[in-house]
Order: sequence, then C-alpha cells, then structure tokens
Amino acid sequence: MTLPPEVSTQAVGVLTGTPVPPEPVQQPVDRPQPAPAADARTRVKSSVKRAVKPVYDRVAPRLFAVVVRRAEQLERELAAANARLDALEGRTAAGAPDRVNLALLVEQVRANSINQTLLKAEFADVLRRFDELGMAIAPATGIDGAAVRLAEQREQISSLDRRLRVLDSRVNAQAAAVQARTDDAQAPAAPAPAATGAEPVPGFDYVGFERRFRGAPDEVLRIQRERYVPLLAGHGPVVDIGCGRGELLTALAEAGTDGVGVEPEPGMAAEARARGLTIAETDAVAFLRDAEPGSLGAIFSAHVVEHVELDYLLEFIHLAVSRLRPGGLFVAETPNPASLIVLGNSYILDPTHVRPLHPSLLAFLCENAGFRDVRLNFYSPAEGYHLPTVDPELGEVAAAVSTGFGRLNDVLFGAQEYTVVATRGPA
Amino acid sequence: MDVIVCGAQVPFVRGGAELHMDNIVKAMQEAGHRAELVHLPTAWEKDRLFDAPLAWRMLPLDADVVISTNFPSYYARHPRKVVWLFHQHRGAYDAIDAPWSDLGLDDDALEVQRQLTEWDTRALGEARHVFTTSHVVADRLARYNGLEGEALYHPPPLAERLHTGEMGDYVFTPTRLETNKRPDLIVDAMSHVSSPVRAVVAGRGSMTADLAARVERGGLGDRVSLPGFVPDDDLVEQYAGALGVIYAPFDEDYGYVTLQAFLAGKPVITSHDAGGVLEWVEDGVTGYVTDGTPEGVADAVERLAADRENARAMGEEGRRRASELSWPAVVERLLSASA
Amino acid sequence: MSDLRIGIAVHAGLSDELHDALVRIAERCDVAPVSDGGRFDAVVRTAESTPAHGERALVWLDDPEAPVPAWASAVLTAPRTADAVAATAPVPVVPLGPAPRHPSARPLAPFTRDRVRRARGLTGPSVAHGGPDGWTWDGADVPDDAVATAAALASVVVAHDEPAAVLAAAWAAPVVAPADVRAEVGLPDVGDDLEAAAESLLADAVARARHARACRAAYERTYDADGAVRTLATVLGVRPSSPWRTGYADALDGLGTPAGSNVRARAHDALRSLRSHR
Repeated sequence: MTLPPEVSTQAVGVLTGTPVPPEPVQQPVDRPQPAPAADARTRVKSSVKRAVKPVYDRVAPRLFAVVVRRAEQLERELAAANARLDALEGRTAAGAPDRVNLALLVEQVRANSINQTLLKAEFADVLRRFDELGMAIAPATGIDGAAVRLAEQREQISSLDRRLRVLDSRVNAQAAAVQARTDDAQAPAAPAPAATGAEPVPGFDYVGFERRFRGAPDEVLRIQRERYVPLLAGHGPVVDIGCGRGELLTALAEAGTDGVGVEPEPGMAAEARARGLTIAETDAVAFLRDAEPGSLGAIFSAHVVEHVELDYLLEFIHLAVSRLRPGGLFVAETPNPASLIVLGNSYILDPTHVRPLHPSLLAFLCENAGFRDVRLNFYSPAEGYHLPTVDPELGEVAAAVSTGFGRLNDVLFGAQEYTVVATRGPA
Repeated sequence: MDVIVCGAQVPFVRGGAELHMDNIVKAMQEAGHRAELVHLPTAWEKDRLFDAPLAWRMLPLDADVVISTNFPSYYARHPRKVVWLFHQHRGAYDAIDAPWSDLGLDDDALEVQRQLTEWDTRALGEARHVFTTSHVVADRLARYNGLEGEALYHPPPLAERLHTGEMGDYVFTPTRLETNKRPDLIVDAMSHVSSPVRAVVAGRGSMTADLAARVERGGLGDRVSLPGFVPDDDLVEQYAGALGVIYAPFDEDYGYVTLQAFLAGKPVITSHDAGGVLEWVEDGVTGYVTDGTPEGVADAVERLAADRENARAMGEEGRRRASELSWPAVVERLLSASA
Repeated sequence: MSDLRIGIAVHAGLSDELHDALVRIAERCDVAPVSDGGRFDAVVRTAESTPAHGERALVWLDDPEAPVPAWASAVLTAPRTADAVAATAPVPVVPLGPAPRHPSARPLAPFTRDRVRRARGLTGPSVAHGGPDGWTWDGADVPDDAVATAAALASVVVAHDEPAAVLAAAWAAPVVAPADVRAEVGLPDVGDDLEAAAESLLADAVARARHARACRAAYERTYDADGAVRTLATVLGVRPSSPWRTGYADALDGLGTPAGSNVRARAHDALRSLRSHR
C-alpha cells in the first residue's frame, strides 16, 4: 500500500524547501543460522549442508542472476503492456466526442427523414384534396379538365345571361305592346307576333362591356366631376347627354345648378329618376329638337359623339348651337385618336365606335356650326407607356435619343381623350 | 417486512455487541417482521483489514431492509440500508495511538488509515440514515469521517427483569475486568471510603488477578468482593439491593450498566471521561460525575451513604428516564428511516 | 470500463451541457444512436420525447423546476443543478458534465492529514493559500510541483480562484473560498470573512471534518465521471459480465481503491485458484 506520491517524504521535502535524500536501498539481511541441535537428524542435516554449501555458493548467485534478469524483463514487458493499454484507453476516450457527435447526427438525420415523411404525407393529403376538388369540378377528367370545364360553365352562364336578356327585351316589348293596346283601349291584344325567321339575337351588351372595360366607376365619376362641375356650374340648365345613373347631374345639383338627363336605357333612366332627377328617355337629337331655342345653359356629353354617324353628329351640333342660350356651353368629351395608343387600344375595343374624331375635326365642326369660342382640352396622357428619357447632359447621342423619345412619347402615348368646349356667341 | 441485521462476528466470543444484535433481531420479530442476523468474521490487522469489507460488499442481501451495526458490516450494499453504528474500527481512529493499534506512522500504515477513512465514509454515506448508539459514537463519526449520526438509545439487557429494592449497604459494579473498564479505580477508591459501605465488583476478565492483588494489598478483603461471573438472576437481585452503582469506564460507547442501574432505581457514580455514560448521568440529578480519582469516587460513595433518601431520589429520576427506552420505539425508528 | 450500451435519442439544438454529459458517457461505455437498433441498457432522451415500449429511458433535465416524466428511470443533469433536481426527483439523479480533473487525487480527511503531517515532521497550523499568483504554505511560497502536496496536507486551504478550489477539494481539504468561487464549485458556505472562517475551522476538528467531506463531495459530484457512470450502472441494475475475471474490481473501484492497493492483489489471489489457466 503506498500513499499518493504527492504526500511522500520527497514531496513534502519539496514543499518545505528541505530536500530529502533518497532512501538507501535495503540490503537483504542474512538470517542468523540456528544453532545446531544435538539430535541425529540435525547432525545429518548439518553435514549435508556442509557438503552442499560450497556448490551452492558457486551456483546460487548465477541462478539468482538469471531469475532476477527474467523478473526484470517481465516487469519491463508488463510496463510496456500497461503503457499500450493506457494509450489505447486514451485513444478510445479521445474518440468519445466524435462518437457522440456521430450519434447526434444520425438522430438528426432520422428526425429529418421523419419530418420529410410527415411532409410527404401532408403533401399527399393536399394532392388528394386537389384531386377531389378536380373531381368535383370536372368528374372523370379531374383537375386537368377543370379549367376547360370552368370555361364551359362560364359560356353556359353567359348564354343563360343572353337568353335572359332576350327574354327581358321580349317582355319589355310585350309590355310596351300591351301598353299601346291599353292606350287604344281596345279588344284584348293578340300576343305579340313572335319574331319570324332567325333566332332572336340579343343586342350588344353595352352595360356589361362598360362594366368590364370602362374602368372603376367611382374613379371615372370622380374624374368627371373634377373636370366638369367647375366648368358647368352656373350654366344651368345643363343637359347631360347619356347621363347614365345621373351622377354628374347630382353633383351639379349639389353645386346649385339644375339640369336634365338624356338617357335612352330604361334601367339607368329609372335609377337616375330614383335620385330625383328629370330624365328624358330618348336620344340627343330627339330631345334637342323638342327643346326651346336658346333655352339651355349647357349641353354636355361624354364619350357620345364617337358613337354616332356623321349626319347625326352634324345635326346634333347644329341643334346645339340653336338650343343653347347666348354664352351657353357645348362640352363633348371623346377619345383622342391623335394619340396612337388610343387607336390601337381603347378606341377599337368598343365595337359601337363609329369613327375616331380627330380634335381638329371636331373643333372645325363646332366652328363651322357657328360656335363663337372653341377650345380643346387634353387629358390622360398614357404615361405608363412613355419611353424613358435620357439625361441630355450625357452627350450628343443622349440628347438625340432624348429628343427622339420625347417625340415618340407625344405621338404614340399622348393624351388619350380630349374635350371640346365651344361657347355660343351672342344671338 | 424482511429485515437482515448485519454485524461483525468474533467466533467463539459472545459479548455486548453480540447480545445487542440478537436483541435487534428479536425486537424486529416481536414487531411482526421476519428478521435474520447475518454476521461474518472479521480481521482487524492492517494487512487483512479490507478483506471482510470487500466480502460484505459482494454479499447478495435479498431483503426489504438491511440494518448494519458495526465495522465492517456497514459495507453491505442495499438500496434500503440503515446503519445503527455501534462503533467503527477504533484502532484506526480514536484509539490509533493505543498500544494495541497496529497503525503507526509509517507510510504503509498511513495509507491504510487513509484508505479506511475513504472507504468508511463512502460505505456509511450510502446509507439511508445513520444512527449511532450514543452521542459519543456520533461525535467520533463526525470527527473522523465528517458524517452525521443520530443518537438512538435502546434498552439494556435484562430491562424487563430489573426492579427496584432496598437501598442497601453496598455499591455494585458488574463489568468485564479489562483495563478500559477501570475496575481498579473502584478497588482503589474503596480504600478511601470510611463509611461502612461495601463494594461488589462482578465479572471476569484479564484483570481478575490484578484486582485480587489490589484487594489484598489494600487489606480490603472484607470491603470488596469479587464474585467473578454472576448469573442473570443474581445480577438482577444485586442491582435491586444496592445503594448505588459505580461505573467509570474510559470513553465508553454507551454503557449498559448505567441504564441497568437506573432501571433498578440506583444512582450511578461515574467519572468525567466515561464517554457515553455521561449522556445519562447528570451530576446531582441521577448520580455523581467525579474527577476520576479514587478520592473523588470515594467522596461520591460517602455522599450516597450519608443521604440515602437523596440517593433513592436520584435513582428514581434515573429510573424514570431509562424507562422511556423501548425496543418497539427503536424498531419503528429504524424502519421508518429506511423508507 | 463498463458494459453499458447507451442509446442516444436526442438530436441537434441541444445544450453544451448535454453534449458534455454524453461525451462523458461515450468515454466510458458504448454509445449509439437509437436508430442503429439493438438492445440498449438505457436511452438518453429529453423530457418532451416518448420512449419506445419496454425501453429504459434516462431523461436529461437542466431545469430544476421541470417535472420528471413518469417514464424516466433516472435523471441526467449537469452538476450545477444536481442538488436542486435531486431534492424533488423521485428517481436517482446522476450528475455528469465536465471532464475529470485531478483524477489521481485521493481524499485525505483532516485526521489523516494530521497524522501524515506528524509523520513528516510538519508542525504549525498549516494553512495554505491558493490563487492565481500561486500557492503559499503558512505564508511561505510553494514551488509549482509541490502545489498538490500543499492541497493534500494543509489543515485549511484558502482558495482565491476556481482552479485552486477544485484542486483542494479533490484532495478533500477543508476549503474556504469567496462567494463566486464557492458558487462555481458548489462548495459549502462558511461566510465571506475567509480569515475568520479559516480560524474557526482550525479550532474545531469536528467542523473541519464535516467541511472537508462536503468539499470532496462537491468535487465528486462535478468531476467524478467514473463514479457517476458506475452509479448509472447500479441504477440500471447492470452487472459486469464477468466479475470473476476482474476480481471484484468493480466493488473496489466503487469504494475508490487506488490501483496499487493491497486489497486488489488479495482479492485477485483469493480467486486465483478458482480460475482455469489455459
């Protein structure tokens, strides 16, 4: 049993600064020979010993040396084996962090693959629902056929809509016919003759068209109000040709200027009347013919004049001059074909446009009809399409490009609509 | 519950420790548990000191609770081990400088002492709870191993047979006649006692001859009797008829004699260095604590003889205190600590 | 050193402390990820995971407030939280974490120290101070290669930094240290007046012994990875597969027996005649 070396005599010597000499090696102590006893056995033993002793003395040291050498060698081998074991243990211990990290990594991979499996399961679930949706929309073809099916259904709905409108107009026609007969107060009317020949075709769904392409109604009305209420205020009575639901007239009424709306579409007219406005359910020329000469303060039309034939337009302008009082305003807003984008885009979109009216043409017509003061106001340049300009400071090429692009912008993407404001002179 | 009580065995010897272990087993059985004593022989020489602890370490003890009592039985391994420590190997601790201890100051012995301390601390530290037989043992445990022990007192042998009696004319001491029990102190003290009080020192041991010689030298043949071994029945009667009991061993662990004296309603005369005896003898209340000199002891004897009523009162107080001890209480305490 | 095969069922994002504990286990037993399959003596998991059926699981806890799951056979935790967790845990708590330090240090209780000092002729109160500037013994400087000797033999060690405190505690010295060092090492509190504490310990042998034992216990709790893994093996009821070959080495290791101790040779001898030699 040994104390830890740290508390050995040597170590304490180092601690106190009083070095201790190493312990002397113990010499083996000769055990004293027992005194020979008297009996015969001992006497024999002693004599044998005496005889053997010289031999023993010669041989023993060599034997001892061999044994000691062997013992030392075994000790060295044991020490070496222990050292190797220690090294092995050390290597094993040193590898511990790596083994732990590997295990953690494997677990992480497993957790990830579990997540992946879960995700795949979820995804499969989503796909399944998608399939079911597809089946619901388009049985037998699934989600791929759904788009086609939806398109077909849209067609069906549109066709239903068309048939409804046909029915609607037929009902209106019938109602009108009944009305006429009731006015005549005659015998019960025979049912209106069905249209012969080809299948009745509903007219152009202008309402739907407008809804789709005119732009946000609020925005349109706001712009209209902004542009024209200041212009028209005080020029009552104002005639709004194609007044629709009468928003502008309402705004003018709020501004203290009364007016009349001309709206051939009965639904719109009804709505306008519901706002308390006076509406003539007729067309512009018919109304103006009926009006008293010099009785109107202003005649306004937005996006009307491009829908009428030339003769109609000429009569309209002529009647306008006549029916306006001195100082009255003729205001007509129409798309500007001088801006080429309009021709390629918004103008041709509407199939009921008759002809594009160049601003100079409309101005000429107004002038020719007898309006004293004819001005043109341009609105809504197609800025979204403008070609980029280049800083002319950058050099000649830049300057040339800049000028060129500027011109192109004007020609291609200029004001998309204009208004002619013509004033009637004194009588 | 199945309880295994563990202790060290000294073959062919039956002393207080063996009696105590048997009493624990009996008390457990009387409380309705199955109890067995497992005791293994032990060697205390430093070369073989660790053999028996290792043997205890390897024992398969299949029971609900294991109660270990002394070195090296507390080396037993069990999840519900409770130690009720009688004593450790005192030769490595408080008695290391005694002549009979083989642990000197050479490196070998120092390492044995170091390793034993480490081993003891670990083995005792494993226990659910460590009780000791007295504060003396607990104090040693704290001083040498830094561990906490709770004193758990138990009734002495013959508790149920001891009874009070007359306050007689003799002081009684039943003890082994060994140096540490200091029976010579009693003999020497008697030569200073002038009152007609006798002393009876019963028991056997290596000091028998020495004591006889002392008695003869002091001419105390008619004052001090050495009856040798006294059977239990006589012992009970000797206690009952005594004036008091002198018990002044050196640094005793517990001291059955004290409690037996109290249960017989007798005051105890002891000395200041008697160890565990002092946990029971309160000077002037249950007896006298002297300076350990023959004169001091003699003086105490005189005081008892002079005031028998006071002696009886002190004995009665001792009896009251000692009768609070019970084996069922001990069993309950040991087993509840194992939970 | 142990026949345990421990499975790892925790993955990334784990704390450094858990990683340390796993490395300590890996240095002493077989570890493998649970995905590898096979029989495991126990599997290390965190509280949120669920053990497989019939698996013995060890739960890693670093929060003393966290409840111990019902499936846990034992709790693994860092030494700094071991006491707090053990106070409420219904199963054994095994602290594991830092790599062992001073593995060759052997505890010398104050009484043993007294005797060794007597044998070496060292008189005086023998108070050693250890700190960043080196060690002193009763005021005199201690050469670096005698620092362990000072830690092993001083009556009281006043440690001013953590390395000194750990070295002294490893040798079971009664260590007195400032509050921050105490907290780092887990040493018992003796107040902040180090001189007064050292004085009172010098005067009271019982207090000194108790204190020294507590210091060594704190050291073992943190740095005795071998002991912790042995406790784990005991908790799991795993016995070495061939104890007759090792000659009760495990039982002796568990008691902290040095390699050169007599009793090892005696145990080996006791069984030698029972072994077959081929």
